[in-house]
Amino acid sequence: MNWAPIILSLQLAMVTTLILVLVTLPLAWWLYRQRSWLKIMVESLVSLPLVLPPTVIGFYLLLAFSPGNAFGAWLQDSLGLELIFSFEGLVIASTIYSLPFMVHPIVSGLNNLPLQLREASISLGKSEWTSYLRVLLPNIKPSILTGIVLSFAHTIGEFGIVLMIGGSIPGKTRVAAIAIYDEVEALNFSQAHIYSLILLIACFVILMIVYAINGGLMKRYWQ
Amino acid sequence: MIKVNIQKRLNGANGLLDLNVKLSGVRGQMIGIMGKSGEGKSSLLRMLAGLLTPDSGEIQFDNELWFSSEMNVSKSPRYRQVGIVFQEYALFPNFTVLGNLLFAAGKKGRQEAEELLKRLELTELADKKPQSLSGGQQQRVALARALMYRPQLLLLDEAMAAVDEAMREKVQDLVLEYHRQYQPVGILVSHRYSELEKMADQIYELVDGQLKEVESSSSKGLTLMFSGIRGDKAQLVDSLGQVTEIPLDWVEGKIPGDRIYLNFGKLN
Repeated sequence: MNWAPIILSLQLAMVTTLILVLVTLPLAWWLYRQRSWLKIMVESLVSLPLVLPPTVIGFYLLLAFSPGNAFGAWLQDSLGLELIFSFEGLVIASTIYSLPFMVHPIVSGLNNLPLQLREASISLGKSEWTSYLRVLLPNIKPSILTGIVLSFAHTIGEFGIVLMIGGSIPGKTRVAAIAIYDEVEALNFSQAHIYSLILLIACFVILMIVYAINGGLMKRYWQ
Repeated sequence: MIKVNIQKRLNGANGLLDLNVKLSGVRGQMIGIMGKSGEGKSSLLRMLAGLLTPDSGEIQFDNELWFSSEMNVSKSPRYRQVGIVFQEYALFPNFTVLGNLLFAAGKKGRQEAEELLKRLELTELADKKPQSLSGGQQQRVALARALMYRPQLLLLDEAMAAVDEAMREKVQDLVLEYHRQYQPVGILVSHRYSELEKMADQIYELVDGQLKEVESSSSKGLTLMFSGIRGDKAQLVDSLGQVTEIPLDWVEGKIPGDRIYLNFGKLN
């Protein structure tokens, strides 16, 4: 049994989720506080992966990262980054593709908090950022956990965008979802079955965790 | 001293309401406001705290402009140093009772926080999360948190409504004691006339969006501010901004800015 695709999927999911947490915390705060038309635009952009086929996003990212285009050439010449068919490219593509799965639960958690919590903190002389970090975020831990778990699970299950950006290079971009496709194409059903079963069990457990969080089962451990 | 002249159109449960409030108060004064539900009392407090923007007018505190529609000034609530007790308490669920108080005052205030909790009979609940407390207990914590902040403007929105009868008097006395000691301008909104009579120097009723002074049955007198000298007269300002002139020797030993209590012609 070749474990490399499973390990690569887990690595990709972990790195992507970590980046998503760092990107989403300020972005969610901005979306929570903004009331301008710009918010509608950013919200729509963030939510695009929910409705667009992964191949569409993958296609445009492929064009953007390609050294034949201005941006891709700049990445390569200035930063030495070759994102096509690389793990780094997969991470960026996965971050964009899983962004709504992290942003939506956190923004929704913030919107469900009583308005007075933020107001009380600001009135007590604390800055917006301090109020966010010390009062608002600690009170939406279940939403943050839901975002983390969903993003992780979604990244593990990605196929289309990974195929477009990374192809199927063993040990480098051949994640579990791609490996299953390759094994089926090679008529190696037993190996495809093992990979599928691992992903099935992993995703089922992850979803159970999400529902346990939303059902309040985990609440006592967090408060 | 606070000087308020603000207007705001509110869209409340009872339809549109035009709030047009003129008010002034000096440090150490407690202003009582009563009125029916939906008359805009809480909105008025929120505007003073900077949490709601008036449509027009001006708010001035100690000669500093907090809000002016004309000059496009609106000071952030963060810098107004206002202690507000919300009707919904707004305690932070992630902090303990003690943690809520320390959030307002910082770690240096631990001794004072513990003392305050003792006075409010909350010592045994110091390590509990606020959501496990009764409504009355939560309200006492919210009050303690506002006091811990040492505000220059103390806004109490039905801040003792959920406190049980046995505790209410103690809580009222504590607030008055604090108020005397630190001299913030206090504004107390309450449905209980007896509470306003006990605690407030002046009582107003908010009717049709405007404040109307209510005659107090106990004739508590007036708190005025010694605002300056003109010729051989001392000028005093009342809570509505009216200036009264009295002989200069009546305010001997006082300096402009001092609070003067006038009761049946006696000055204190």
